[in-house]
Amino acid sequence: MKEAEELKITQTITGDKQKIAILNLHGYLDSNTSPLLKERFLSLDSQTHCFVLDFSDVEYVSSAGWGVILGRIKDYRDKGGDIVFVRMNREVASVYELLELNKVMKHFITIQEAVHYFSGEHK
Amino acid sequence: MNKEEQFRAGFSLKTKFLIWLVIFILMVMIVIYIYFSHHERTILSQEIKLRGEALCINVVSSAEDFLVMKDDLSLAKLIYDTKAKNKGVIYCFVIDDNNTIWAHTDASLVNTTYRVPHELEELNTKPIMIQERRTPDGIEVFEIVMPITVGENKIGEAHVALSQQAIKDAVAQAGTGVAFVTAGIIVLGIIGILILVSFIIGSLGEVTKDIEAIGNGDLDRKIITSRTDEIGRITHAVKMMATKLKRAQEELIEKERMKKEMQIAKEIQQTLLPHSLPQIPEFKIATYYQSAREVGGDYYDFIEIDKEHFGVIIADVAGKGVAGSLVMTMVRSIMRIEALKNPSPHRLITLLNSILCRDIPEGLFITLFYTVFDLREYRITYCSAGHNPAYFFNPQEKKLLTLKPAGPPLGINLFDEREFAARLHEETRIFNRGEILLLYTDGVTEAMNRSKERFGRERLQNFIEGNGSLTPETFKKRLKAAIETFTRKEKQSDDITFVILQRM
Repeated sequence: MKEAEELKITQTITGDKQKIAILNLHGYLDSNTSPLLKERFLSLDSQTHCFVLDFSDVEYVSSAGWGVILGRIKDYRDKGGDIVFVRMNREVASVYELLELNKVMKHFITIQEAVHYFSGEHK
Repeated sequence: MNKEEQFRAGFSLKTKFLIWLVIFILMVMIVIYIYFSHHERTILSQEIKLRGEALCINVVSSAEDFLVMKDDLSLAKLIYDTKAKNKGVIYCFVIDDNNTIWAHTDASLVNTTYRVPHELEELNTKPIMIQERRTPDGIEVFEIVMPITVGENKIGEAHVALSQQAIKDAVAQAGTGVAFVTAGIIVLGIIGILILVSFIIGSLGEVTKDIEAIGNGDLDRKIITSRTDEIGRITHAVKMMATKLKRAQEELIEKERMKKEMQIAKEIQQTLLPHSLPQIPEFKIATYYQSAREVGGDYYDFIEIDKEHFGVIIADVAGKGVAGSLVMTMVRSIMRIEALKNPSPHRLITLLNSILCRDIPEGLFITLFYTVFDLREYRITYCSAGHNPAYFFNPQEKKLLTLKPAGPPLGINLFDEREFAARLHEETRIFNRGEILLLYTDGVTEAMNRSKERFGRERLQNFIEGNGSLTPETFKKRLKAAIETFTRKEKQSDDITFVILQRM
């Protein structure tokens, strides 16, 4: 039996006028752990709709994980926000590309670029 | 008597407390009474003896001259005075050396001979003698005897008897006092115990009721206490116990619910999968489906569009449980109905996405690979909605093709119908004799072994190149075995599904 994998989420809120939540995810984002990410999104709903997901420590994202992100993104975009990714590993990126999410979502190499994307967009 | 009643029989704690308290007080007071009466008796008899001695010395010193002078009148006066002036003197007399009574408080005994009563010792040579005796009238006395001497010669004896009644009175008085005090303490003790016990036992009674209620299954019972002593701790512990029990019960119910949901989802899914393979001229088909530990959302289907066309669908619903299964049901129904009207995969998938986007729950999406076979031209036309690539293999040329037309997953709600249609690409190719098409879900490539290594696309491609000339049935058995060898039968978290089609 596959043992339950862990997911740790640490958050930083940045930005002056436009608050941006940077979520650093660590571990596995699958059907067991994705509710944690969903809860985190909902708990920050009153503060911001701009999210940078730092995926540098994410080893695996299952379809349930992508589902949580795709489930929120429409709502955030309608409210002028977005969800963008930073530093996805090769394995995660291959699924990201397979699902063609690279064509509908943004991925940046550095957090600064991602933050700049939000602040530039809302100038 | 049932077990419940058995625990209610017998004395209550309150009664037990009271019985023990009364026994305890009585014991203490009896000990106190014995000690004090003994003490009193000792002190009083000492005092009486001292007084008797003093009286006797006084009688002796006065009687000496009178006896020498044989002045019986003065002696009688001395004796009467001694009795009259000193309380408690029962009798008093003086005898000479021949035991003749010279003076006696009982005048009738004067001039008679004194006989030492059998219970008393004779004085002989002792300077003083104090003895206890009971008079013929039944009075308990101390009889003090002293010799009357002239120089060294004993000429007679003085006897003074003092009553012991004072001791009896004092002891009786002390006894009455002790009895009163005992009664008082017992009354106070009972009142005190009643108050204390109802204070302590009262709360204990509350806790007992709480525990009984919890025992009967009322886990929502409000348990309140402000006490910080042992009873408070018990109450708090009971409260914690009830809370934990309730949580455990809820978790169990939730677990059962999840299990039930998974069971329902599994049943739905199994009814959706085709029960038999379609008979298609010149094609051999094999399918494989292996459900995961928790039911996944894999699904495949064959649709006979018309005599010259048939469709093959393989799909993966992201999201487990009943919601995922219901979405799968939607996909199946829409595909089965609309495929007949829309021979173009592109049009059909675009339509499917539009319908799904309206109703799909948040967090769910679908990847799907749809192929339409044209049996007149042996041509396949296919679309992929974010699904894993399909593999197309020609054994003669040993050529492996990856079929991956562009297309986003279904149900993600990010673009309108036109934009989706623009992003969804359709490809087509001829299906030659001997060629093999493998459609699969990511459960195959994501199959994981104990060291968290995945089966992966490279292994799958190598497998196809090595086994692509086998019949679909054999190919299926070999691929299944290859995956099992790799995972070493480790339970998988995702369904494993594949469909193999080969043109004869």
